[in-house]
Amino acid sequence: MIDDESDRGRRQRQSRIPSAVNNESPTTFWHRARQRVLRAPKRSLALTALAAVLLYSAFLGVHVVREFEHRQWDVPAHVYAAPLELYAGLPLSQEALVESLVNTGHQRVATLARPGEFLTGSGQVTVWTRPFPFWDGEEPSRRLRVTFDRGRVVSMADDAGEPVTLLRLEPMRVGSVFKVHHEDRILVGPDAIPPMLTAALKAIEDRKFDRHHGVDFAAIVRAALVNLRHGEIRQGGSTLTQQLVKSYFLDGRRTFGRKFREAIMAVALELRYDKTELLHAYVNEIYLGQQGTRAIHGFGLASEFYFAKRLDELAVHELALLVAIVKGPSYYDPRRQPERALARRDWVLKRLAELKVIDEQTANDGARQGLDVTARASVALRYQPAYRDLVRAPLADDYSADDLATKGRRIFTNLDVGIQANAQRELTEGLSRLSEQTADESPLEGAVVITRPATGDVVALVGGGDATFSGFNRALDARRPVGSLIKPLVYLAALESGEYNLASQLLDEALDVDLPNGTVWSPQNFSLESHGRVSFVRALAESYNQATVRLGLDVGVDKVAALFQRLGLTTTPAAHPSLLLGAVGLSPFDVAQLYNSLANGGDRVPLRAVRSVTDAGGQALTRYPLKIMPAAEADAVYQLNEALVQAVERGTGSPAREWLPQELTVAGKTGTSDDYRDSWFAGFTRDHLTVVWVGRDDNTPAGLTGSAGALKIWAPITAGLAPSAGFDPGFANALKPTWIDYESGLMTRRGCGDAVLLPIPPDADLSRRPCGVGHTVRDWIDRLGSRE
Amino acid sequence: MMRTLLLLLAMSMSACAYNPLIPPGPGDAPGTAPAAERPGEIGEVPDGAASAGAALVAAGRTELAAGNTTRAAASIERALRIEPRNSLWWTELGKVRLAEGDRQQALALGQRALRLAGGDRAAQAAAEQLIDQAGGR
Repeated sequence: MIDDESDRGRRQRQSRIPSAVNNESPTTFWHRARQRVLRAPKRSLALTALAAVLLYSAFLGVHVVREFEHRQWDVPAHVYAAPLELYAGLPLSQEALVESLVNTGHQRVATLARPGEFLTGSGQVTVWTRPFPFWDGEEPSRRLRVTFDRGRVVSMADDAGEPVTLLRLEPMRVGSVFKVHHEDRILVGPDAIPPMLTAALKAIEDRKFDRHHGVDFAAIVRAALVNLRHGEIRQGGSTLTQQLVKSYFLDGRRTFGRKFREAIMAVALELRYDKTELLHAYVNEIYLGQQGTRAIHGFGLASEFYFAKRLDELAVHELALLVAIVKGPSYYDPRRQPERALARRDWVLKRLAELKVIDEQTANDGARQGLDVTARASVALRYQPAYRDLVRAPLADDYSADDLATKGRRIFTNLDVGIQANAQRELTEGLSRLSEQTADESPLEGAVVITRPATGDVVALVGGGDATFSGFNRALDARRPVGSLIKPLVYLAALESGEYNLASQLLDEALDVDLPNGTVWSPQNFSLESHGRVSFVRALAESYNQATVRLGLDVGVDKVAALFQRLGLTTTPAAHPSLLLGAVGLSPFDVAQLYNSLANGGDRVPLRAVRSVTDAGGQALTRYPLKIMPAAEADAVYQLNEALVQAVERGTGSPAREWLPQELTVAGKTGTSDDYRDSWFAGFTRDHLTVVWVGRDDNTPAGLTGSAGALKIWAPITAGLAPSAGFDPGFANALKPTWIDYESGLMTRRGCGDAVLLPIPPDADLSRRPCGVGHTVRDWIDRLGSRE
Repeated sequence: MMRTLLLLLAMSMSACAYNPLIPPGPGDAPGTAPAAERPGEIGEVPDGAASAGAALVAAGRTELAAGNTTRAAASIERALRIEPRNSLWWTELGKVRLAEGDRQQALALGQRALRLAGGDRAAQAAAEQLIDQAGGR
């Protein structure tokens, strides 16, 4: 560059010399020539500097314009929880509805004045909902009264008293998919910016916004004078455009160089974009607060962050507070520095009245209001890192990471916020209770997956004891041996073969299995005892290892292995005999997929976190529809589920009854891996399947069986899901209810010994058992202490 | 020892309390809200789940008639979340899949509907018709 300049200088000199020769005397000529030669480097230097500045400015201009274009699209996808569907008869308390309304940004008021408000009375809630664009159409705004009785919705009626059949509430926004971590944004469209906000921003921050070209020199001088007069920084000289630039590059240094760069960039933006575009960008960009490590950018998010309201729902005094905060979100933090924030807000209101943005009366009314910020940051910002991992997975097939992080998509999920919060709490508390019982070389960890079997919805996913930790997601990524959790698959393969039924007699005796590598495997029961002839149902309910291995070898290990894929997993494990006792690593999510097919009567439904994705305007882009595939023979699954009910009624799962309501029927199975490294419980009611894993990250023994560990977390979670209905096996017309002696599998009659009514194929060959009181008591005593 | 025996007897009696195989009564027909049928729950609460489900399925039918199968399915899926055991709603979803040309899904949904129909003749007939149309027999 400098070389070029010198060359040009030389060329100029050369071209001028001949003309001088023609017009001037030799002495003058040589004098001037010498002076020119002496001056030339200075001029050359000035030209060089000017060119450099121009080039640098051009560079800054291109840089800031590129950033502006980039940010315009940089709106993360928003993730929504499942919406609440309200109807008469729904088990839902008044408090739960109120919480749900608050979570979705509705305000509790004394008189309904606008959408997004509700009021409560004795046993009733009156709500005015906002319209919401769902993937399958817009839910219109409605006003209605909901009445409650004993934890249920009893009626819903509109203003005219006409009954309302169904109301789908706006879903709670639970997070966003970011490219940059810790940064969140709620894009406000140009039409959704309250006119008062733009007027107030111009009035307070940049009075000549509509006239200047990016920099307002008079404002800089005026600000300096005002600040001098008050002895504190009341005004900044920066235009809104300069503030926008400053926010883009997050450079807090107050140096001349930075100010200069900002000014150049501001001018560049002004040359390229009109005032409306710049103001729109400003409203969505400016920094307005901090929540831990997350920066709150833009008025849309700030409105939710401070008031749990949408921007277009803010009252004058609330908008004035946000405008007041712009100056210094930390210095004027309304939660931490309420007096300072209040004083500045009132000053803003007064100033707005002086500048005729609002009238005197409005300003005075506003100044009489409190700050009205919510006590905590809005729960809509609640972090759901584990579930979000699950949301990302299916979307990765259909959308690029850039699409998700930058285009303002809306992702509708199946997350049930209440169930998720409850599961997280129970896991965290349960792990801390269990830790007291175990030696703690390394911390006890756990994971929970909860689904709705019929539709395959994943309603909750907890990845560890610490809800806010977004690292290793145990629910999805911890592959741990499942132990006896595998047994239902062995028994299902047996039932499907047609050779066995719940009353079949199995032999629980020691056995030696010759393995392909030449060694001999001699599986032991948990109690180290064998039980001889036992019923099929009891062998599963009490989790007898020897009976299970004998059964599995008879049916074929390959048949058991094949069930993995049939019931919904992508891989088939090696058909090694040890598979029969669960020597296979699965994640809690994998287990949920397998058991979901059982809970579903043998129909496989792929587990889904995402229902639909729409664009920023609500237009549906992708739907993930409900799909079912018959995966296992329905009558076999029907019988198996009855055995799993018995596992909780009488078998290894029976400690769960301590937590469960007496009338709630559940089906479930414990699992324990070698050396007590992994403690599992998987079980289901009619409406929910829950899988719990407990163990240690470093795979050292947790010292817990399935019933001593995971069950104690599973049971309170399941009890908390009530009032969901108990497990209901549905109908199996081909099976005949038959009284069977639980102990031996012999046919018996009601009330005789340990008789249990079980579904048995009508053509089953059953032997009858003599009935006497002595049998009953002796059988129970024999069975004591012989469980896993 | 005596306490243990009493406990055991009590347990053996309570074990008989769960009985899934007692045939369903007349109130148990699919199409009603199963949640309201179970013992120990409030009986006088109006059966809003059924009418909510019915409204959604009716909306789904309208969408299907207009050729909007995606919206039809979305509406019926909402009904199924409210009443997952309603045989008729599964049949309705199967009809949408059939209209979309997905016979395999229609068949699977029909078979599921048939299993859930139990003794409900109307629900059975609807499911069987769907199975027939899907080429299941």
